[in-house]
Amino acid sequence: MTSRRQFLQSSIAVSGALCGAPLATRAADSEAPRLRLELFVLDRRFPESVAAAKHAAERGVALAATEGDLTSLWYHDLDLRWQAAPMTLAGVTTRGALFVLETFAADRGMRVLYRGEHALARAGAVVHTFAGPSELVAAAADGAQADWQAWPLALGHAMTHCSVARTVATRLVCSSAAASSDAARGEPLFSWIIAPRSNVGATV
Amino acid sequence: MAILPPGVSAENFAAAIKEFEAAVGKEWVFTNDEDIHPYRDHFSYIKDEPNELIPSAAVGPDSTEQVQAIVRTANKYKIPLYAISTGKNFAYGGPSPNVRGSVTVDLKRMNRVLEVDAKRNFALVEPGVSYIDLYRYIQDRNLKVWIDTPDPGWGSPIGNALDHGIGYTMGFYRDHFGAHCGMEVVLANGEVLRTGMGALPASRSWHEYKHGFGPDPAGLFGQGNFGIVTKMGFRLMPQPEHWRNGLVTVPKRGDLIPLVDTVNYLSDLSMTGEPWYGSPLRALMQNTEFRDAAFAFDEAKMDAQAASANLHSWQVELQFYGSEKTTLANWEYAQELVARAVPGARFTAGESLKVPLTPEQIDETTGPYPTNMRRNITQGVPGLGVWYQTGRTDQNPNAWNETHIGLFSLVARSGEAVLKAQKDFADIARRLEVPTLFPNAIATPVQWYQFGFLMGNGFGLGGGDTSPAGKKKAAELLRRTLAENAKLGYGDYRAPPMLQDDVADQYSFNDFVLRRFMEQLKDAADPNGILSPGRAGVWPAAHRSLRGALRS
Repeated sequence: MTSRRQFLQSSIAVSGALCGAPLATRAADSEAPRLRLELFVLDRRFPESVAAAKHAAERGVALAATEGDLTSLWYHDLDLRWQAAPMTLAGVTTRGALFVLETFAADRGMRVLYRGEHALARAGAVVHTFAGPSELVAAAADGAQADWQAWPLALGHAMTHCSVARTVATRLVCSSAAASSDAARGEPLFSWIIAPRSNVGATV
Repeated sequence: MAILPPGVSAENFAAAIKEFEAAVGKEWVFTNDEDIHPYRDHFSYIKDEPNELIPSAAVGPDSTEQVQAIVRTANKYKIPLYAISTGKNFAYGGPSPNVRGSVTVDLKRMNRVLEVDAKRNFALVEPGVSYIDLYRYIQDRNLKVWIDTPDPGWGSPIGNALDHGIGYTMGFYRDHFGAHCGMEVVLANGEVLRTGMGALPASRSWHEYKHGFGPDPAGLFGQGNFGIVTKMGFRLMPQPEHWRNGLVTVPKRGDLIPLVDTVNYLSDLSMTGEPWYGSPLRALMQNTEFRDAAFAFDEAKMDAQAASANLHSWQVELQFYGSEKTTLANWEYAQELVARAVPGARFTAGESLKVPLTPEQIDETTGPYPTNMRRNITQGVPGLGVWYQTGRTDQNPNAWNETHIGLFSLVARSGEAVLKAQKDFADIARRLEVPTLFPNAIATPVQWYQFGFLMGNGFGLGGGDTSPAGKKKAAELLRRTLAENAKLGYGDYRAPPMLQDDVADQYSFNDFVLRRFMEQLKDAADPNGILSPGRAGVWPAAHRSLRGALRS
């Protein structure tokens, strides 16, 4: 049975823009609850996605592999699961895949809690734009800047470990050098966490 | 932000909200900003502008009776309603109403598949049922009927059909409104009407004979504002035993004419499914010299380059449904007819597969020839993969498509008309200085609708500029393009609310008698003008002053 909150968000609640909420201190998040990820969606065409997913799998998170088209994942898995109850899931995918999941999530009482865009810049750098709970964003940004080869791993770590906060959201832009494999990728990747609306955090 | 319906006081609006709550339950009436947010068009040209088409509230009924109660309250307080189903309508305005401050009637809770008959081949559904839901219902029961799904398949059969949406299988089923059979509608006065044989209380053929007796008002509810459809029947295609496809190419530019004539013949004899036209010369568009020739319609240069690349000018991919033998016979007959009409035509057999295809066969993208046709939609299997195409494109390199950026215009179903339309659209784009790449000498039509072509034009108007100024400029160019198209006889089949008056303005035969007739009916059937005022350019007297207001 569809709840009021699920129904409420079921027309469309999709915005390409990242939120511009003010920066918050990390201390504000320190005692906030942590998410329990139930699924990590990867796109096996992209090494960055695979690396982040590997980290999640090592933490016991179930994986769902795609190659861009989410039809099978939706029809055979998520549609059925989300009919029963909202869930928390994360992923590193293309924008199109996130768009599909974000749209369906809105139908089922969920929202994007964290969103990161990882876009290639002309100067051989990856520009990371993060929006979401400040501790998560800070950790993802730290990882992105620390080691260009390891940013997907750092991202996976941040997405599986960091806390989220009810009202604190932040936006942060940083860059790292592009890995050689990035050159083959013509479009940005997106890292994201989708969680029940009743959960902590704000839509980004 | 608090938005009120036009001409309604805050007091009366509050009283109406209380009545809506009494009708559907307090938890299904939504009024605050966060709750209203999903009912905006997030791709709107006028997002965040003072005239953005935002509702004042939304209400979610669960039954026809609740819809009736909502309509009666709206009549009492003269509040415009705007009904939506479960589709997304991203390309045509999303869920946004035509009048700012309308109350959205969100029918998503009415999500029951009421009947599927796999012997008489029909379904009866409510507006909240999606194509994916209906497909799952059929699969779960192992019924041997197909749906005809649009792409992507997350929309509603009722919503899509009422917006004259289309699909990809056999011609009759591709026209989703044409394939409906019987509807239940809540009228503006709150009464429930059933069309066709549904008007005969003891009838058992509601979904088999849609005309009933006398004038059939069903068309008033397609892209219309004469009622809220709460149930609708659809004819379903019986699952065929076999599917095969094949590719036909023809060498010269002028060969498009006999090719289209031949495919029309096959199509109208129900021997083929959706024909998928294209041009093998697309492969040369990376070559600057060829590309320049294609935009300049320098046919001699195009022909020379095509010949040196050993490429034909046109292609059509054909789909065949039936038994293994009949599909082979139809494919062989198609080859025979085209060979007779077009010297030098080439034929490549595609796949020949037993139905239902396995998931692996549906996902298979390699084949005897390259194809852009997504196989799932040829099999009535809803998919989501079309969203691959929303990323960066040549036409929109700087951002993904955040605005409605194209027109689909009706073009006569002949090769001559296509060749003329290419030049007409290119000429209009050149004169208006539209930054678009589509109108060129290899542009081909789509034949979603069996008996007419649709051709894209005006695409790329935004040029990737999604700033308010960029959107405003794009909207103005779209309006001018619509007007220029109409002078040459091209009209659009569908549009987002902010362009509906502009499209309707082009349907002006005999001093707009069609619109005057519709509005005469509208004023009689909906005297308070509460049902989707302005939809498709039909304005009730109560709101007629708003016609064209979005142009300013």
